[in-house]
Amino acid sequence: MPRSGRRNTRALLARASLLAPAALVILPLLAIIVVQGAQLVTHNENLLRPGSADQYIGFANVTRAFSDPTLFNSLRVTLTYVIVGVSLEMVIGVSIAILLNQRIPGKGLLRALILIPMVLTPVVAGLMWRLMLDPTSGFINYLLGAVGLGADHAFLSDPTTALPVVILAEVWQNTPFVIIVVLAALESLDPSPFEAAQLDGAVGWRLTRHVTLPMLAPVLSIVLMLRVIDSVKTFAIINAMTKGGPGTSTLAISNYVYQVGFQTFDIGYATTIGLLVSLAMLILLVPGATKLMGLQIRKARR
Amino acid sequence: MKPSVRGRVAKSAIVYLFVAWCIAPVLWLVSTSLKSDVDAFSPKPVWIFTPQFAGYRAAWVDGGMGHAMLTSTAVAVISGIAGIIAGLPLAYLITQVWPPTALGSARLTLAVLLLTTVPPVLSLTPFYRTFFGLGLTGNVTGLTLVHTFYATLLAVLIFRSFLINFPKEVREAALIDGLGEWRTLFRCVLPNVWGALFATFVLALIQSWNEFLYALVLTGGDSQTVPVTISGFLSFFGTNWARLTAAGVIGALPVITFAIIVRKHMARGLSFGGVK
Repeated sequence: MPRSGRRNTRALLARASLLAPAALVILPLLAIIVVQGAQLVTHNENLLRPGSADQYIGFANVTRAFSDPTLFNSLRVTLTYVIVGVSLEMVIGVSIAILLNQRIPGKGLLRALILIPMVLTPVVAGLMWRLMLDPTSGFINYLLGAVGLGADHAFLSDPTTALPVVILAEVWQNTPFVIIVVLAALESLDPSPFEAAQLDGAVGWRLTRHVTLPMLAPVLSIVLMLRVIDSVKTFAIINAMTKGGPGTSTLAISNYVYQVGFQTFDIGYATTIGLLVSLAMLILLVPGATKLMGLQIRKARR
Repeated sequence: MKPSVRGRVAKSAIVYLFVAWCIAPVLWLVSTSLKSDVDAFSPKPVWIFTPQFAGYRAAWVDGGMGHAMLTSTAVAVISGIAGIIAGLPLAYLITQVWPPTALGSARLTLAVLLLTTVPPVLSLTPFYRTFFGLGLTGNVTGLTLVHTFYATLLAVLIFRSFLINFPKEVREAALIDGLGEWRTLFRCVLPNVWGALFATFVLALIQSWNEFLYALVLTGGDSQTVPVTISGFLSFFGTNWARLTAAGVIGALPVITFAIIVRKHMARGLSFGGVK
């Protein structure tokens, strides 16, 4: 008995040691988020006001958030950005992936080229779209002028067009992600349902609608979730293209938190906004993430 | 029933148009970086010009892009390696030592997934405040810690997706032969999943290289990474397109090269193993 007891202890230690490196990286940073976060949310800290770090204000930051029109505007901007951007990415991405899964000349090269927008540094993508949209020398204005639609649109300084063109850059950058993942899923699908459906005379759209899309459903839900999570965090593209302007017309949540925290240095309030938005996201996303886990557990059991 | 030839041509045309939309702006960026300022500002596109490298020289030397590339490389490589060292054993624990369906495995995986979904805006100010107090801002230490955190999460999820279908018998045999868990992991399991290691490392490099928000807040002066340096150009030089676009091309070249090298593993890595 003592021998097996010692062996159990050793096995337990070995398991703990496998967990240790990750815990060493993750737990201290997690502790910082929790401890400092709690401190910042309940204090009226401003980096420019000495002593403000000790100014306890309870839930005043939270009540301030609920009556902050700029915050509600940022929520609206972020929601528009996420809903419009991700919908377009999904529709275009799935369509192109299905087309690319068929016989297309030069497929290998096309697939390599499609990767480029996805990995391009987002700051560079924003800079690139600023260049394309420039009112005097931009290529988009040249094209519009060539078809008689006027060649001097200042898209980024007009509050009605700024958000649409920022979303355009988002869709340009991230549609390839949907394509790459969906295409890989299509290639790993079992071909027999397709053959059966084709024998039954299903072709083209009907084949896609009734066979391909239902078989893709699990992957599509993962892709959709990952795109939503990622696009809610958007910061770099907007920062490089408009810095949230003109006015607050493209000020997404991350850009607003950065502005409050590191331009007006109101870091207590900035943390509060970050916390509220993260809580809302977690509440919306935990069911999805759990379901995703469920899918993977089932796959492992098979 | 064969699809008509006309249908096939139309489908190819749509795909080609889409790929053109993906790469045309990048080609425009590259061509602008090689133009003189006069040509870059011309309202009519200048198609034929003698390539000029003044923008590249200005960006690399005066603009500090050379230095920023070194900084970004250091942060990306260190955090990528550290992330793999921290993430691989955990992935091994929750797929091989414990069955992936065990409660502990499922909870740890869910925790890792949730940590990846937390928006950086929540942790930005706490990290800044703590790292500032410890003297870890204005240099790359704090940023490297944060990037290691994200690389670890990425490594756990990617290795998990590779190890989840790895045969249990390998580990069982190794343990009977008297190897410990760590030696089993490094001698018997890891040599079978080099692809996962490679994919994780490259994706972690890309993730770290492109990351902007933490880098903007946690670094400064000499320790600015590539995106922060380019963003600085945007504020200081407005529309000095040659220099700006040259900096953009220099900064984006490494990640594009990496992505094309690792494209075979891209889908699996990007969806955290959601697809094979």
